[in-house]
Formats: sequence, C-alpha cells, structure tokens
Amino acid sequence: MELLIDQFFVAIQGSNLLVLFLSTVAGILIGAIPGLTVNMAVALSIPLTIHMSLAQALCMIFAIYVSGIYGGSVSAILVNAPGTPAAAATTLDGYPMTQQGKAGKALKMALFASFIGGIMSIIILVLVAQNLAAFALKFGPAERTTLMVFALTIVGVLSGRSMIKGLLSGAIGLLFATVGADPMLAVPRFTFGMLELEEGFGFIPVLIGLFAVSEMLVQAEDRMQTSIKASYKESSDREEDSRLTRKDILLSWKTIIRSGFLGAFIGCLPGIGATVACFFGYGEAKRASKNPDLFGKGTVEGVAAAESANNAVAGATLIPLLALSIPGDALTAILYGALLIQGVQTGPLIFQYQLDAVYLIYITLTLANIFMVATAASFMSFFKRIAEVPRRILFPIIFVFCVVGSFAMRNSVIDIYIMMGMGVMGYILRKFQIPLAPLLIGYILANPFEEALRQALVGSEGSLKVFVVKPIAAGFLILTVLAIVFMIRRTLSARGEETQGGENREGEESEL
Amino acid sequence: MFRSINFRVGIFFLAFSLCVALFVVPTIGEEWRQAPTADMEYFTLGPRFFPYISIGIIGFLSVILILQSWWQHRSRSTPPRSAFTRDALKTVLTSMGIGVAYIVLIPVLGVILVTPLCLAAYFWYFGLRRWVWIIVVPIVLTAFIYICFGKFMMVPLPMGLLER
Repeated sequence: MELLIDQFFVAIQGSNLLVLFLSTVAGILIGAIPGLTVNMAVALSIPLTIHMSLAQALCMIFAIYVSGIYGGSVSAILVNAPGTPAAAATTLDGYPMTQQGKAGKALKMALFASFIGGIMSIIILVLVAQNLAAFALKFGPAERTTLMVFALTIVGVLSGRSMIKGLLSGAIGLLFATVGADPMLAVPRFTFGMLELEEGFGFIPVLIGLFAVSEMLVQAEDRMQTSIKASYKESSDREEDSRLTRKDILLSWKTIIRSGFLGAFIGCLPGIGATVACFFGYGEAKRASKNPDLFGKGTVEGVAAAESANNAVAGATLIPLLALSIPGDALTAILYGALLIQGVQTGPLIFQYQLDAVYLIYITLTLANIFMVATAASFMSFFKRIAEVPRRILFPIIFVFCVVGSFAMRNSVIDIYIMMGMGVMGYILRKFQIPLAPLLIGYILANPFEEALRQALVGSEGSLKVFVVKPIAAGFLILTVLAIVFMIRRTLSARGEETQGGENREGEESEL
Repeated sequence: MFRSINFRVGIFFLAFSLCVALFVVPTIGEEWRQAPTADMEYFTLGPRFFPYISIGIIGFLSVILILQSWWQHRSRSTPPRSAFTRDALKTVLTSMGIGVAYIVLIPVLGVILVTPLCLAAYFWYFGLRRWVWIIVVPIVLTAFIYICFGKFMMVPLPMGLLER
C-alpha cells in the first residue's frame, strides 16, 4: 500500500501532469483526424520518451493511447470516417445521430461511455487480471479458430440489412488479407511479383479507403451541395439534442456496463483488440436492447455500446502483456517496446521485482482516463465545429489527409494506390448494399484465423472433430449456430414487412 | 429477377470466385513442398488452403444470394431501382478523377506542389469560387501538412520536382 501511495505522488508531479495534458490534447486531435491513427501516434511518441522518466513516458503513452481511441469516435460521429479502427462501430449510430442534429449528444455519450469503459477496464486489470489471463491462455488453436468464426459471424449477421451480404463482406475481407506472404510458410500469395505487396495490403490504407474515401464518393453524388451544417442546425433546435439527459443515461447504463465487461474480456484475449470489441459490444447491445430496430438509425445506446467496449480494451489488453509478456495487438506490441526502453521487463516476474512500475502503470492509466474526460469536455464545442464545416470544404481536406496518412505509415506510394482502390471498391459495395464493417473485421482477423485454423487442422491431422470435442471450441460453435438461427428466424418473421418495402428500398443509403 | 441488385451481385461474386479459384490461386507457388520437412509423412496444409476456403465461402454465399433474389422475385412485383443514377455517377467519376490525378502526380511533382492544386480543383468543382478557397486555404493547408507530417512526424513526404 505504501508503495502504491508513493507511486501516486510520483505520478502527480507537475511535469507529469503537463505531459499528460499535452498528450491528451494531441491524442484526441490525432485520433479525430482520419489517417492519423493511435498506433502511429504512440509509435511516433516512443522516441520522445527515451529521455523521459518512467512516469513521464507512461503518462505520454497512455494519454495518447486512451484519448486517441476516444478521439477516433469524434470523426466517426461527425463525418462518418472513424479516426481509428476501434471507432468503426461508433459510425453505425454516431453518424446517423449527427444527421439528425444530435452530434452533441452522441459526442457526450461517447465520452461518458469511454470513461466508464476505461475505468472498468482498469478495475478489471487490477483485480482479476491474472485469473482472466489464465482462462484466455487455455485457448488453443481450435478454440481460437471457433472464437474467430463466431466473431466473424456475429459481425456479418449484425452489420447490414442482409445477413448473406454481411457474411459475404466478411469473406471478401478474409480473401483480401491473403495478399502477401503466407503467415506460416512465407510463400507469396497474389503479389504478382510486386515486392511492395509481400507484406500484404497495409491496414491503414485499407481502413481509410473503405471508410473515408468511400464516404467522400457517396457524398460527392450531389456535389456536396447539402452541408452537414444545414442538416445539423435544422434539427438541433431542441436543447436536449445537444446534451446527455438523465433518460439517455438510464437507457444506456446497462449497455455501458455490459459492453465494458465484454471489451475487457476481449481485450485480454490476444489478437482480437478494440475493433472487434466495439463490434462485439455493439452486437450484444443490439441483441439485448428493447429496441433493436433503432440500432443503425441513430440511437444513443449504440454509441454507448461501441465506445464503452473499445475503451475497456485499453486496460484489459495490458493483462496478457504484463502478466505473460504477450502483446495482444499492434498497439500493445508498441507499448511492449516502450516499456522495454524504460527498463520494464514484462512477464510474471514483474509482479515480484518491479511492482512499482506495475503500480505506476495502473495510476497513469487512470489519470489518462480522467484527463481524457476533462480535456475532451473542454474541447467539445471545438469538436462540434468540425461538423459545421460544409462538406464541400471538409471532404477535400479529409481526402488530402487520407492520402498523406496512408503514405505516412510505411512511406510507400503503393499504399496510396491501395487506399484509392479500396475507396472505389468500398463505394461500389455500399451502392450494392454490402456493409463494409464485416469486410474490415474479416481483414483484421484473417491472419490469426488462418494460423489458428491451420494449426488446429495440422494438429488433428485434418480431422474436423477437433472443433467439436473441445468444450470451449464447441461452445463457440454452438453460439455461432445460434446466432445464425436467431437471425434467420428474425428475417423470416419480418419477411412480410420486407416484401411490402421490397426492393424499393434498395437504393437507400447503405449501412457501414 | 435479372434486374435485381442481389442477382447481379450474386452473379458477379460467383464469377469472381470461380475466376480466382481456377486461374489466380493456382499461381501461388508450391515450392514449399520441396522443403525437407515436406517429404516427411505428416498432414500439412499449404498456402493455397486459406484462399480456397475464402473463395469457397464467397462462392457459396453468392449462390445463396442468387437463389434469394429468385425467391424474392417470386414474391414481389415491384421493379428494382438502379444503384446508380447518371448524374450521380458523373460527379462521382469526376471526384474520383481529381483524386486519381492527385495520387498519380504525387510521385512526379511532389506533395507540396500537387496538394494545393488538388484542393483548389475540388473546391472549384464543389462550387467554391472565392479566391480565399481557391488560393489561400489550399496553400495554408499544404503548409500545415508539410509541417505536421514532414517536420513534426519526420515522414519523408515525396517531394517530386522539389527533390531535384
């Protein structure tokens, strides 16, 4: 306890708080600008931490990490372009809320849910970290395979109006991810002799192209004559549209808590991360909601679910990193490097030999969440102005940022071409009512999925029984089947209604 | 049925999956089989396995989509609407054209020279006519991007002509 208090006083020194504040501002702004990702920001901040103390370094890294994930929701809500992959699910309800003139409410709910999710995740990190990590460690290739099948199915069936198109989109994502070197034998696939493609399509160009460029092309259809400002002002006469009401919180608190737990659980499973967590949280919230039909049309519950889940990953993702030295995703891998620079050796022994560092991590992560709320609340009016900029000004600027941001990740011009190609493809898919989110999730999960599937099948000498005889794997398969059966039943029961609407609705705005 | 969007999407992806399965996946090298470990007798899966799985799923779902559109055709009488209108397609293609010209010219002329031109072209096309938008804002934004990415984040932006 004494050590914890000592570390608390170390963390709240003036210089550390200044670093926290500046990094929080930078994190939100970077997260909010499409093309500037949290991964990139954290990676670029690491050279700056070399000459810092451990406390300052942790303040900087965690502030950028936590506030960057929240910042991603700002552009997701205001311009339908998630600043970070983790905010992809936030667009589903956040952007429709902006179109309805409720951008202020959506941003505040995102902030509130992010904070609660973040704090829940820290509590879980502190209290049940090792037990949860031990459970996740029981997952072998078969369990990981069925878990990812379940994740892809859930995302596919929940993302659009058509389950088949959602699943089709996920399968396209899986196929795109096979471009590049085979993850197990390093044999090039679909590279056609181009060395630049051996690493596969960069994740950032794919993300930016699918979500930002395709959105710009959709918006270009009317030459951007209707501005966001117009749609925002027209319907925001009511004061309650720009603030969180007690009713909103009462409606969403269960969702926030549930998504927080889900996000924390997924966060501690290696290789899945905040993007899948936000879709899991969103899907589960939709399933449990009394008004599932409102999801995707601009409900505050949808924003709360996605944001609580993605921020709850932040603390939980440190569980396997700290306790087992396993980075769960790209961001934790970057964090792992940053901790090594500071002389912190993660793994089981950290709890015996570097407990001060562990406490400092807990405290700075908590402070980062508190600073995120304080700073974001102060900048809220500034963020809302982004939505007031006419689309014909905003989207060309975003496009330029997308191009430069895609280039910046690997300093490769081919990434710009990939981004543009993905943007055009995303636009065409949207016009054909094929949702883009499953494609992105399929793309993210493809490599770990392929590795797990091949390991499981090689281990069982090609027998599919391996997915049935193991209880956890079988459990995920049963959940997958139940999800599909549930959606088919719902589709059939709503068929009469759909027949009336029919294909008249096929030209409507497609869901992400 | 043939005018239905679902039918067209299904046919497209079925044809796509067949083409990829028959002509593209077989181009993936099989050199790995010559590795010493591959001669040993145990079950293994090569680099073509997962692409075939993905394509199989795409093909299967395409068939379901085609059958679904046939089923919907039987139960509906309303004619389908086209996904694209002529005017929308024209503006989208123009926007795309400006974007493609921008990214093609970046390696040649460099980000600093092309970015203000791209922004000015977009602003002009989208109806902004004031000189502030056509000249000042593009230059200021380009300077911001250069400072932010080129100087602060140390990204080696393509300089094109200015590099020489």
